[in-house]
Amino acid sequence: MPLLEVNNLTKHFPIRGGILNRVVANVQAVNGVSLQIEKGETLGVIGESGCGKSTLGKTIIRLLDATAGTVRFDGVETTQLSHAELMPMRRRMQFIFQDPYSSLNPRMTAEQMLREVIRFHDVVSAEATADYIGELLETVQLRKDARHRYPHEFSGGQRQRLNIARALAVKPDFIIADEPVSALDVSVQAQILNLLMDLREKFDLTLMFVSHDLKVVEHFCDRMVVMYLGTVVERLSCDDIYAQAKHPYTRALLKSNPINDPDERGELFILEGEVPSPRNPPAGCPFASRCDQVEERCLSERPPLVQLNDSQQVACWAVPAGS
Amino acid sequence: MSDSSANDSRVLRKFLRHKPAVVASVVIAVYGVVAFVLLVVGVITLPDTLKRVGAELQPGLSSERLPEKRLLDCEWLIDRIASLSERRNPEKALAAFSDMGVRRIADVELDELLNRIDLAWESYDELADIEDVTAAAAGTLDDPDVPPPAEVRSMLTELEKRTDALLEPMTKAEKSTRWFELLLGTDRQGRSIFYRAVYSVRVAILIGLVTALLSVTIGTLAGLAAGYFGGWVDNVVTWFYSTFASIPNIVLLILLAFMFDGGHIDGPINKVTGGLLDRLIGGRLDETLIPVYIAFTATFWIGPCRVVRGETMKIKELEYIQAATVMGFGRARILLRHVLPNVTYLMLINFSLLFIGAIKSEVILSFLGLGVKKGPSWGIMISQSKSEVINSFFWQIGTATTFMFFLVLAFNVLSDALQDVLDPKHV
Repeated sequence: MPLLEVNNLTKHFPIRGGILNRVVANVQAVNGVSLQIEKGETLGVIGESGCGKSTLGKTIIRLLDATAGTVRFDGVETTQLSHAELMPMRRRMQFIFQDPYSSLNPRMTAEQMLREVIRFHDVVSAEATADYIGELLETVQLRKDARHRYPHEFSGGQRQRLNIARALAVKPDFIIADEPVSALDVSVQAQILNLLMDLREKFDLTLMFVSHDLKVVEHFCDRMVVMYLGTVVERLSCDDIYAQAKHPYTRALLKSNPINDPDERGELFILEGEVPSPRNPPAGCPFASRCDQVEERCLSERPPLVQLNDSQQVACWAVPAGS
Repeated sequence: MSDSSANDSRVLRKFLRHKPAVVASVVIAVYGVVAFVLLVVGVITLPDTLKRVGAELQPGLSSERLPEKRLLDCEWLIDRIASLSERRNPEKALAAFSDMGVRRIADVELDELLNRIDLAWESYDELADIEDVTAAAAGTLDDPDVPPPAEVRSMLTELEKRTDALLEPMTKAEKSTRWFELLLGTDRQGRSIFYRAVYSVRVAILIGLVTALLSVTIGTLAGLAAGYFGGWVDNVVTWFYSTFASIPNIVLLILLAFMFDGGHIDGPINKVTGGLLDRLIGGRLDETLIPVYIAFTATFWIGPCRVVRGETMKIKELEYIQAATVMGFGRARILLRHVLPNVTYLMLINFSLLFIGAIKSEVILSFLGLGVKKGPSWGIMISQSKSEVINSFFWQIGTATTFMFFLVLAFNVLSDALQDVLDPKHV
C-alpha cells in the first residue's frame, strides 16, 4: 500500500463578482490530479509557475480544502477530517515552505519556535526539550548559538535549515517540500539539497519535492510527475529522463535546460506562447496552444493518461500507447 | 526561561543606547512623579489651585510689597460686603464698590482704601435703615443665606481692624510663602498659575492613560478578530468603524461628551435611563472623568482597529502562519502567539498617538466646557486666558501649552524609540 495516495484531487478557487457576490468563475488550479508515493520514495512534482504544483502540495497537507477528490495517507482519508481528527496526521506529515524569509515568525527565536512545536505535540518530555532542540539544530547543521537568534539574523540558507528543523521536530514520516531551494543562491541550493538527501536517509523519510527545476528533480528524486495547467501530463522515473521523456511538454522542458558541456550543447529550445488561463482551460489538450506536434484531435479532445510501461504514463495523442 | 531574560536584557541595552529615548523617559518620569507623588503626598492640593495667592499677574519669586495674605483678607471682606449690599441696595453698593472687583487692592493706595471703608460704612447705615423698614413690612427677607446687617457690621469692623494692620511689618510666618507659588505669576483671579499647571498634569496623564489603554485594547481585539476571521465578523467591525469614522471626529466627541455629561444631573443619557449612569458609579459621575473616557474611547478605538485589521489580514497570508496551521496549532494559539506579537508595534505606536490625542482633545473639550469638571486642566487654563491674551498677558496660556508640549514631545520620542527597540530587525 502506498504511503500517500491522491485520487482525482481537484482544487478550484471561486471568483466572486456582481452585486450579489455570486461565483462567476473558477480558477481551476488543480484539476483531477492522481498520484501515489510509496514509503521511502521521493516523488518530484515539476511544472512551470502557475501550473498548480504548490496548490497541490497545500491541498494534500490540508492548508487548502479540496474541491473534490480524495487524499489517503497511510490508509486514512484526510480531506474530510476535522481539526482534532487531523492532529495525529499533523505529526506525521510536514511541509517545508518556499520562501525562507516569510516562513519564520520574525518575533520568535529559533529556540522559541522549536520549543513551541515540541511542547505542543509533546514530542519529548519537558526536561529533554532543550537537549532535543540542540540535537535538531545539529541535525540541520546550524551552530549551537543559533538557538537565541531571531530569523533576520540568519542568512537565507540558514533560515531554510531552520525551516527544515521545524518540520523535522515532530519526527514526521512524510514531508512535502515546496520549492525549498528556489529562493536560494545556487551554491546554497546544493548545500540544502545535500542536507535533505542526508536527512532522507537518516530518518527514512518519504518526500514530495515540488520544483520547477528539472535538473534538481532529476538529481534528487526517484520518480517525477510533470504538471501542466493543473493536470498531470506525464509520469516517469528519474533514471534517464532524456531518453525516456515522451510528452512534448516534458521534452520542451528538457531542451530548455542549459547543458554545461559545450560539446553536447544543441540549440536551446524556447517554448513559445503563453499558458492558457486556468479560469477557462481549453477543452482539448491543455498544451495544444504551444505544442509543435499539435493535431486536430488535440484541440477538441483531452488526452487521457496512458500507461506506457511499468514506470511511465503519458497524456498525449501523439504518443502511441506501448511505444 | 533563560532565553526570554537574555532577550529582555538585550532590549534594555538597546533602549539605553537610544539617547533621545532616555531623555524622553526621564521627562515622562518627571511628569509621572509630579502627577502621582507630589499630588498624592499633597504638596499641591485641589484647594491650593483655587486659593488666591497674590494679586499680581506677573511672575516673580515673592511679593516685595504689602503682605499678600493681609491684602487678600481685606479684599475678600470688601468683596463680601459689596455683594451683600448689592443684593439689598444695588445702586448704593455699586457706587462704593463696583470698581473694587476689577482693580486689585495692591494697586490701591492705603488712603483710598480707608476712604472707601468710610463709604462702606455709609452704605451700611443706609442698608440698616432700609432693613428695619422692610423687615417690619415682613416677607422680604426670604433668602436665608443673606446675613442680617449685624453680620455686615461685624465684617466692616473686622475690615477696619485689618486695614490698620496692613502697615505693620511682616511676621515670620507671612514671609515664608512657598517660593514656587508665584513662580509663573497668577491668573486674573489671583490663583497660582504654577499650581494650576502642575495640578493639570494629573488629569492629563489620567485621561491619556485610561483612554489610550482602553482604545488600543478594544481596537486591537476588534481589528484582530475582523482581520483574522473575516466573514461576518469583519463585516460587523468594518460597519461600526466606518460609521463612526464618517462623522467628523470632534463633532462626535462633543456629542458623546454631552450625552454622557454627568455634570448635569439631567444630562441626556441619565434622563433617558432614569439616572442609570449616576447609579452605576455611585452618583458621583459629575466628579469623575468617566464621561470623557467614554467619549474618547468611542472615537479613538477606530484608529488602532483599522491598522491592526489590515496588518492581520496581511500576516494571515504569510507562510509562517501557514506553517503554524500545518503544525496543527489552533486558531487561538495562532492569533495570540503568532499574529499578536507581530502587531504589537502598531499597538505601541497607536498608544502613544492616542495618549497625545487624548490630551489634546481633553484641552479642546475643556475649552468648550465639556471636559474636566472639577479642578483645573490645561484646557480650562487656555480657555480662561482668552481675555488675558488680549491684554498681552501670556503667562497662563504659555504655561499650559508648554507643559503640554513637553509631555507630548516626550511621548512622541519615546514611542519612536520603543518601535526601534522592540523591532528585532533593528540593531
